[in-house]
Amino acid sequence: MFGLLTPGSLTDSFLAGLICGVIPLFFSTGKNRLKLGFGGLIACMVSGLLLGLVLAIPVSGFFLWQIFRQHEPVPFQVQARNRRLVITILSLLGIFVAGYLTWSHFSGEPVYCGGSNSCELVNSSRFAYLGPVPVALIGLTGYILILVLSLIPQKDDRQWPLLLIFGGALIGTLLQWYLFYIEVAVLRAVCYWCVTSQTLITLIFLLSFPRQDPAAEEAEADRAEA
Amino acid sequence: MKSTTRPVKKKKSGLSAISPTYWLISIVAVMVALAIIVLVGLPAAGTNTAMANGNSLGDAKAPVTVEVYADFQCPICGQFDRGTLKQIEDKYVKNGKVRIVFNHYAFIGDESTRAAEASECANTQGKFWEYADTLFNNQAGENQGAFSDANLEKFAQQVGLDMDKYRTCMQQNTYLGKVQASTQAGTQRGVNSTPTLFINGQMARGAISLASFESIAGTLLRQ
Repeated sequence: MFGLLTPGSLTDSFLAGLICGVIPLFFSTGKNRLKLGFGGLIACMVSGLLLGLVLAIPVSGFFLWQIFRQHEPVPFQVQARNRRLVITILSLLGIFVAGYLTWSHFSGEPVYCGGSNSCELVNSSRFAYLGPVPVALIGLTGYILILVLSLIPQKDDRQWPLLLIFGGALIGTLLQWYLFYIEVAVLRAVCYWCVTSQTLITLIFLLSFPRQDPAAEEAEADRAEA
Repeated sequence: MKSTTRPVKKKKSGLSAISPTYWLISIVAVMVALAIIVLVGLPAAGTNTAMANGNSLGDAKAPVTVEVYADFQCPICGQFDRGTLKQIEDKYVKNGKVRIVFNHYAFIGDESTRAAEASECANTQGKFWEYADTLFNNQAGENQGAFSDANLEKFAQQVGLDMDKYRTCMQQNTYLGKVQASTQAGTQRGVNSTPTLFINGQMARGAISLASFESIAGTLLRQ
């Protein structure tokens, strides 16, 4: 039990909770249950800290169940607004994760990794650098850009911020999955921080994925008909 | 029966509903990601070749140096060579983090010394590691003839050495002095069993696991 109190283990449990927590937050956008989503995120992080995945998974499941109990249709505009808000939150979490890894690179402090060397190994491997630039710094820059873009007020005729978020998140997702492949297949060490970032960028990508407003589409079809 | 003249509305669905701008962005994004992946992955091709330099393996500028004191007759050294040492090679030597240096600690018997000499003769022909692996893979008891001169010669043929040069090297005991000096240096550094490692100077006895190696070298590996 005492081991849980060491910084490394604490970090692992926290990240495990965070990964479980962003899932209800992600699904809460479509059901307009953002409060439940945020509640789920906080509850999962706390339960992750207390007991790790053992508690975070059921808590995440509970919040998902609560969110999916909502059956009323949610207007497209509301869903779009929710998605943008959650992209902002996820990019803030991404800045925290990538920022920590970047700081670790430049300060020379080891990455807390639950007492194992996996994070050290992954982040000091040659795959963690693009020339002299640490991959974590590229991730940090990406998350900051996504954050800024997500804060630009949305208008019907202003599509480019979402378009750029989509493009950036696609690049990030592909890179993260490539790096995950390297972790599993080449380095044989999985780093919790990287898996967290991978979850965040994948969810941002899914949230920014182009969706057609069914009402606008119908109106357009009607216009075409007329 | 009621019939309608209104044509059935054809609903655009799935991927066809996505605007061309998104397709364009997607293609550009995929290309950028691929370019970065290629750039990140590129050094891999360059670092896998020419790793061996005499009895050392890996980048001379690697932050961690592992000096191995071993006897070719010692079975645990054989296990260590096939196990942890190969893992270290795959995981850290290839990416320039670790350099392995092999030092002789020939203390089990005459066959140990002869085998060590033979490996140095192979070294002059750039085949130290191939020869060392062959020795470890052909262990069969200690001082029972597994590493007789005849067998050592057979191994030399197996790894493709120039046999004339090899025979001269062995007959003249060219490297006997080097093997003895290495063993003596080991004793002075406190080696009394094999394998013994010095990880950036820090001693670790026995065929340690990869995890133990990582915990000793952990802080050094990030430099």
